[in-house]
Amino acid sequence: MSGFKNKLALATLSLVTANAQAEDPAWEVDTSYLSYVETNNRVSVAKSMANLTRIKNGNELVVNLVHDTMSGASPTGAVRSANSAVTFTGVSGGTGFAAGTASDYSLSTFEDTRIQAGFNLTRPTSRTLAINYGAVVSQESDYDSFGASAGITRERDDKLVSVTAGLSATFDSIYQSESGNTPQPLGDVSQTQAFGKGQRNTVEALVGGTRVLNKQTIAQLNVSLSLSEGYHSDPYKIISATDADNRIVANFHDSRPESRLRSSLFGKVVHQLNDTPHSIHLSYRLYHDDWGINSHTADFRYHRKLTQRQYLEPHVRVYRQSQADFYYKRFYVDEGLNPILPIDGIASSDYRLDAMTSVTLGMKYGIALTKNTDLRLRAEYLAQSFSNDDYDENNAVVFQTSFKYKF
Amino acid sequence: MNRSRPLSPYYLRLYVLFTRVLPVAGLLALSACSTTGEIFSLDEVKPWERGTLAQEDMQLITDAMDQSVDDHIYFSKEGSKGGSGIQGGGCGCN
Repeated sequence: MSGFKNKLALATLSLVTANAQAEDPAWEVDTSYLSYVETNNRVSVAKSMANLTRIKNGNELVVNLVHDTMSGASPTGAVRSANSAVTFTGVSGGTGFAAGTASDYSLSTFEDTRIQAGFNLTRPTSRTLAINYGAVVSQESDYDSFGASAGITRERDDKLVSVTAGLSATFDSIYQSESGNTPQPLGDVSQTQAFGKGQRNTVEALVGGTRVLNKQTIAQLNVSLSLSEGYHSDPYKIISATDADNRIVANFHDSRPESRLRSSLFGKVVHQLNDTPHSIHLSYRLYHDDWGINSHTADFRYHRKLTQRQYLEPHVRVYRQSQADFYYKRFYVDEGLNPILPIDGIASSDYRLDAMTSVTLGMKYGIALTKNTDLRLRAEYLAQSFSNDDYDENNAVVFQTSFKYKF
Repeated sequence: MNRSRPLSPYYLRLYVLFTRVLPVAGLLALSACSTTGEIFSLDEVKPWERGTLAQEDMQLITDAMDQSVDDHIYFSKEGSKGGSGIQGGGCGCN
């Protein structure tokens, strides 16, 4: 019997030793470069990212850095019109207006750079309990953001079920890049009255769980709530008031509510198809907010292993949203050519608050170059269709190259 | 308030494709190979039976870079946000 015990002990020891030898490298660097280009010379973004991960004694520290350069022309919200009854200097925030004629204010050119740095630390406090906390800071010429988050994850003893709760707080500062101010909400653009920087504070809470359903499937369900208070308008967006001949009589600054309550339900399933090495990732999000936007998002990825070291991953995403309660394409005027403004003073013609459908089609290729390095190439095509906006389509192409190295 | 404009023929086709054709085709395909049953069967999984679930492609987030990029793009271009996790790092996106 004691001989058997000794053998068992020896076998256990050799297993532990083998595990220790097979342990993953403790450092990981993941870098990525992305190019996002909208057709019709609209917005272009070049994004560089780096994540440095350190794993030690079960603790995981991730430090991330992001650098974005953005340029191009973005819809201001003004109607596309070659005929304006007024002249004004227009909104700032960029290098000028880009639309075809001197009196078309519907596109505004801009150039900006954004940098972001953050970290996230995950620490197991017991075999089934882990806490994580992190912080992120982001800065660009017209927007500063700071956020902090904390979360806790508890696994059931058999590790088939986990429950997560998380909380985050974000503090944003918003202003026009040139003046450092925000314009008076719903103020006439030709007589702009400058207010100071806009401040917005957001608190977000998330409760979720995962469940191993069977040997090949894991499912996730999250519920999240986010409440933000403060300045929600876009200091660059404007709304036109037009007469019966579609001539702009005046333009007004964007004016959104001072708070926003968002809620979402998110579900995801990852499943490896029977008797194959291929897997599918299916997710769905139901979203609602008190601005009147309801949306559905469905996302599907098929991870197909080509060889032991290579895979292809087709991707389809479909998104639909309703328009915000205060979305206006334009204001109309009365017989005396006076703009008819909303009584509650809340209005925006931002195309992102319009009803829309977005469809993304993508393909990703990944290859493990060595045991500790891998390369991923991704191309995506985004097609957006808006129900009311003068710019009723937005199409973009995304190319991304990522390289990971473990050591 | 403006009324919604009808979708252009191109988007109408895409809309029909993604809301009618693909779900029906998907459901047919799923039921044909009884994948739905496979996915949602609830089994007790022993620790030594979790090799598949431990694979990289079976994680809920397989690529943190892609996730971060997608969150940023869609947050910049759509009216919704969040759901899959706690977000961070705002922007004055155009």
